[in-house]
Amino acid sequence: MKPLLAATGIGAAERLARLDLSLAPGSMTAVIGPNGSGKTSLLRGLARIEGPGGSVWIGDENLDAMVPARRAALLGFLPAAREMIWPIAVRDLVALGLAKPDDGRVESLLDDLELTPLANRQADRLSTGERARALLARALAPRPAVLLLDEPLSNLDPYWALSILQLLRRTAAAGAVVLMSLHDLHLLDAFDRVLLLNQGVLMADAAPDLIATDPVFAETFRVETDGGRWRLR
Amino acid sequence: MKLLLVTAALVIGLIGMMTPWAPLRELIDTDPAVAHLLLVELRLPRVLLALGYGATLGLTGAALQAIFANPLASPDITGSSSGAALGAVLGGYFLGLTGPLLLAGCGAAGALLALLLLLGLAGRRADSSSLLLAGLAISLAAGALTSLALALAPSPFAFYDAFDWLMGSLEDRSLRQVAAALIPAAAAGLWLARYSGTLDRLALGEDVLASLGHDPSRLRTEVVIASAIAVGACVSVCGSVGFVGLIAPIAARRLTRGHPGRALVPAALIGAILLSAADLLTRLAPLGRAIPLGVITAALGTPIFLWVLLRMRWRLTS
Repeated sequence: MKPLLAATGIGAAERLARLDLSLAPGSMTAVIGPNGSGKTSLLRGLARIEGPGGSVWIGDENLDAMVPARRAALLGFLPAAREMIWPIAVRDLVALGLAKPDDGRVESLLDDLELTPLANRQADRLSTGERARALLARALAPRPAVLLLDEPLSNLDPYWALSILQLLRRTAAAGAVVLMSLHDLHLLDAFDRVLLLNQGVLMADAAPDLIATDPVFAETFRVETDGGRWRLR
Repeated sequence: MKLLLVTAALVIGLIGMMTPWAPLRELIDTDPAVAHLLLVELRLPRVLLALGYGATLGLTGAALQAIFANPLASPDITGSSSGAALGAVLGGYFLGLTGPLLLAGCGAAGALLALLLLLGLAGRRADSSSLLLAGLAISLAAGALTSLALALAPSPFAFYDAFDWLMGSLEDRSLRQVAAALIPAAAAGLWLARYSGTLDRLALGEDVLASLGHDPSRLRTEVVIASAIAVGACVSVCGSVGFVGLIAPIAARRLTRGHPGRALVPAALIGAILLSAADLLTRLAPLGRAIPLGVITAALGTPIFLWVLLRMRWRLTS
């Protein structure tokens, strides 16, 4: 299948060696690796935050050549930072992701993420997990073709981790590309493809069932599985 | 938008109600020369400066708060007003400049220097304590240097000349001075107002803004330069007036549901109203002698500033 997102030469000095990447529409891909392995640098590079290196295409369009409005429609980026200092209500925060007001879209996202009871609460007064959901809803709002999410499941309890994976699966099924970094390795089964990074180098790129048994996996994380449980090597 | 119209209608209505139309008409009919002197030479500059300087303080305060991601940033808290005053004093007493536009340029240079120094000292997304400390340090240093410059100035009357101006005053300014303050301020203000949508998105973080194809560091540079031009030009003519630039944006954000960028234009309106009201108070004060404008805004502003500070502390600990 023709890739929806095609990137060449994505890298960051001292944090990520240059790599090429293509992602097919409808696919969900996880980026895993120990702390400092370059997951965030990869996502920032693909979102064109990390500086001018390489090039990223969505369909036939080069991201660097797009006006902001077009980029907002095609690319949704969620940073790992969850702070919000302005007293903006959850409903308005979600609407910030939209180019034009669309109350129906906002309400349906609030509903999907069970934020409706908090819709008028100021985002700076939410718990970290609640704010994580509100910020994710903002990234999803314009129905972007490509979603680049940095640790969207951190600070979330299992119910929310699984619910959000389900929501992202529905988004991907509608034709989007979902690429996200992930810490909880128990959730790998939810993905079609896994990229394993270590010290800024792409070590493996495979389906989740293959990656967990790959010796590179144990070597990278310095742990091994023992009947479904992790233990130190 | 509706809100803006209602505010505008209210202000116009108030002005209409408070204007003594009948005596005014009589004066214009009986003595047009005196009427011209009173209205155009004395009152008009003062009214224009109150509205324009107030709007400038509100707008630049809102823009600086948005780019520093800090509700306590403002022209006075960041030290840019003090920097502008130092720039104008150096230009006036040492370079011997007299043209209002040249002095406005010196003010802008001083304000810009202060803001760049603040960025260097406190960082881009400064937490409140580093921003306040760095701003305080810059204000104190600029204030001390201003006093030193006045003490060493060739003119022995420099201190007395400058005192009223340093405390902030809109009295006895010529229309040329008004133009020197407000034309650069208006240009810079329009430049800033264009970014209100972008500054709202900056609330989501610099990375999100960059992912949308904006350049956050360029945005910051433009906001800093435009604010310095606007504040510098106004301070060079009216001296530094505290608190309006802090309070107007805070009040404006209550009208824009917390959005920092959308608050820019309402903050300008509120600033214009606040400074006009404060200037009115300086004239109504029952002490025989007019109270300096800066004293009035400080007296009104300090309690609000403390309230914001306490609320922030309460929120951090709760």
